[in-house]
Amino acid sequence: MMAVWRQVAEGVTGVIKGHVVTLRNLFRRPVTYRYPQVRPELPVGTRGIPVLLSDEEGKLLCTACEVCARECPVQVIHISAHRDENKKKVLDEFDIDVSRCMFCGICAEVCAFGAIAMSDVYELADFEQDRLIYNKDRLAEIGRRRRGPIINYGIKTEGPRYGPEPAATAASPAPAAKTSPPEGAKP
Amino acid sequence: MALALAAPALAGGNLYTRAQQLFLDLGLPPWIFAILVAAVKVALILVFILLNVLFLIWLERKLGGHLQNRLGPVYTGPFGLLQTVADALKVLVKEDVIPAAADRWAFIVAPFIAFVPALMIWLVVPFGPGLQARDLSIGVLYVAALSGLIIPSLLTAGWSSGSKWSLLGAFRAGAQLISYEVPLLLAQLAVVVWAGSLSLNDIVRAQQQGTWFILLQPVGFIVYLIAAIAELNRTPFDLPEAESELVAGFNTEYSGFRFAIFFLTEYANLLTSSAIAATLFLGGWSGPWLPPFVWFLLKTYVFVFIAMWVRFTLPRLRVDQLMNFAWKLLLPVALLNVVVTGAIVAL
Amino acid sequence: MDTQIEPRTAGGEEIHTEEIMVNMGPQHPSTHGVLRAVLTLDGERITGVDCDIGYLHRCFEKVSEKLTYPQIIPYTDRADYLGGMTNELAFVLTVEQALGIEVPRRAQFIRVIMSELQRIHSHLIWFGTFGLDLGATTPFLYSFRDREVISDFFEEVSGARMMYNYMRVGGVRNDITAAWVEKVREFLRRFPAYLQEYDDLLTGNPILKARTRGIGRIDAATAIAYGASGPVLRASGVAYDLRKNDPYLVYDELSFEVATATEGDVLARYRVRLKEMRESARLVQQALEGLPEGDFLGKAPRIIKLPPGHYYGHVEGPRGEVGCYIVSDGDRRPYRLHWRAPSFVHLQLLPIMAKGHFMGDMVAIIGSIDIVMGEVDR
Ligand code: SF4
Ligand code: SF4
Repeated sequence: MMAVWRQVAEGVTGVIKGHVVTLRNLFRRPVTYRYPQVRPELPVGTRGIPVLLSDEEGKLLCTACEVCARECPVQVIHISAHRDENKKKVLDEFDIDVSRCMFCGICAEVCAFGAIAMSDVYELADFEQDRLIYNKDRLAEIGRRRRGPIINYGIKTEGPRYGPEPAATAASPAPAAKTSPPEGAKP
Repeated sequence: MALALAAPALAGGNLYTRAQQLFLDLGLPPWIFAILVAAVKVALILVFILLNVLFLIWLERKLGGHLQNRLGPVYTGPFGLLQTVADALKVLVKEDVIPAAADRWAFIVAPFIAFVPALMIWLVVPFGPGLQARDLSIGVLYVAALSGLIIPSLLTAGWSSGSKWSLLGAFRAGAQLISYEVPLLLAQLAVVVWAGSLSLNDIVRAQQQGTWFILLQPVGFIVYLIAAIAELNRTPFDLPEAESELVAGFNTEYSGFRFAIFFLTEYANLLTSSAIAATLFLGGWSGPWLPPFVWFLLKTYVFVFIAMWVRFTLPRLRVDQLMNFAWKLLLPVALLNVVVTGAIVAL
Repeated sequence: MDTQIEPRTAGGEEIHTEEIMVNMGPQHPSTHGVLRAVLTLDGERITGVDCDIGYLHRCFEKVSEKLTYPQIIPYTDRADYLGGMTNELAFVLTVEQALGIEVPRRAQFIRVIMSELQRIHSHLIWFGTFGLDLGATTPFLYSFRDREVISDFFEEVSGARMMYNYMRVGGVRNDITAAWVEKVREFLRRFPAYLQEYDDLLTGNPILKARTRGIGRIDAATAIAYGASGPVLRASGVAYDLRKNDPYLVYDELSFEVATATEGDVLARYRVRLKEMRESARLVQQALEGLPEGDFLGKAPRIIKLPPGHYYGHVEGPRGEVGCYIVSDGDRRPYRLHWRAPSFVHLQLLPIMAKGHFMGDMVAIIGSIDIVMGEVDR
């Protein structure tokens, strides 16, 4: 009989304790916030879309060595280049298909020239799939929004939280995107 | 709620007699006036219920949010108050789906079998002194009879959906509601014994003169609370629609307008149970300083708050435990309570 | 636990009853993703369970055959997406063992810290979803509130909240800073209060006890026979923990207790996991204290080629033994990679655990073995 009463008492206190916890939390400040209005302060190095960095004059640092394209696990970087008179490689195209990029950051890690870094731009939703293929100019534009140093292969950006419009920056918008097969067809 | 607040002026005061006089002066037969009055009452009650239900749904989400460290709805209107309206609009424009395997007519009718009685109960609820559509002398019995009508509705819904989840939900609903009806009624019976009347108005008056029945009937109140929560299919007794087990139970296949009706019924029932609890145990509209109607609302919402608080705290019981709890614990306690109450009253 | 349908009689005549078969999942709120369990029910009682898996199959093992070793690391995160750090660890440990690489001590400590934070992280999610399975919505949000903090830690050091890609062959990707260490310390100071809150909210609840005690029981022999590991095995009374039984990293220098229980039921697994969170917090504390200075990334060949042969490495993940089996033919890519996923093994126990119990127990049992379908299907 005693055992039964103890069980009942335990049960009742258990239930009451639970209610006290929820009631206490009712008066705590909520931990969630209104997301698009209030944004989290992301640490530098947060891996959003990888972007191309430029020097002070606005020239891209990339030397078209294609190491990143080779090391990308999902093979979403497409690079094409030609050699100028001095036999120096000149970057023509640099496309990243962000719909397939897994934001692993390997491309930024392997680049020997510090020409590519992970940005904190992550709101990349779009209405058309084609627009998800970011070309050289769009990637460079996000890269120019950079503020502060490179930490953990990542940069912090200022300005809009989303990627630039393709039409606004791209010289040859749609066709260029179409001709860039990001598949890992190369060996 | 503004409309409902205006009710005392419409029905209680001398407006009533003046309007009556006007009708008689115009030479109209008195029954037309009677019908008109009834229509106004029904309209007022409907508006009261719908407004409160809209508010309740919002409250549940907002309160649930804050109990869980969240914000709850924030975007629609101030404090997200219009969230329910937005949801209602969304639900209404949804495609009306009737599953191919469903028993068409039963499927269509089922939500309304529950909805109509949920509204009818309010006929006898006393909002304030004299502020009652009909003071039935068998008020408590009437409430019990009507609230029992939800069972056929859920069974019909579950059976006619042609889905196994719905069917399982309906089985559970049937068993659970019937089981908890008994302690619920016994808890009310103890109050009735004490007050010596089945009329809800008389019960309020009895408490106005004496003390609230929650003090005289603490056990009865707790039994009522538990059984009412079970009758309302709310956590920890939400087995008929246990979302983690049965997807959505009896309303798995319902969508759009019909789902909205079920949803509405659920909250209308919550309001009803709360109002009945306020009337039976918390002294109904009686109370100092504030107008009776406000007292009534306040007390109703005390019960609503408890129900929501419980919902966001406890896990769900299992089917057999639910049954055991009803028959082996709640029922004996309720019976004992009635016997003891009877003995005390007889002395 | 009689699974036989008893003949029912009414007025002396036998009533005809039938078992019903329901598909629980792949779209079901509590199958933790896309598990499909075909249940045979006698009323509410389960008479048979048949698991159908593969809805989340992403060819992880096959894809790995086409990737170089560093490229596989981000993929391992996605096998058990709630245990990324330990998955990566299992993989890099195997590679390091094959190459015979010495890892700097600081890196080893960082790895321990990450593994244990990961364990807390994963168990917090389990706690929340387990509550959700039992119909209590609030524990979920509380545990996610606290888990967020750990996610922030991971984000700061690795750049991502779930898919870390943090471990490297020879060390880790980034160093941890003093500020970070201080933040983790602060979290560990508050953590006991969190756990107390969970205990008050759920552990002490009589409904929880009634729902979990004696449900889904397996004895030690069955658990071992099925290859169970982790909390599922330990809840059956076998104190088997790879951190103790086959110490890797610096676990043998740290003191911690292996959480065990003897009942082998859902409640025992629940208790073991809660205890493990406490122990993990202790481990993180110790590792932070003992954290030496030095390199966080040791020397590793620029191009990683494993010598031909078979390699197996395993670590104690949040769910059990995470194993990585690599067959190499000397190339930069594995010839074959096999992933030992504890969830997959534990899922095999589900029919045994569930038989004879109620429909409502099914969700409790699935919750208690803490499956992650990403890992089951890979
Ligand atoms: S981004 Fe870096 S790695 Fe990639 S092509 Fe340019 S220079 Fe080479
Ligand atoms: S982040 Fe990873 S997946 Fe994305 S482009 Fe860079 S290497 Fe490829």
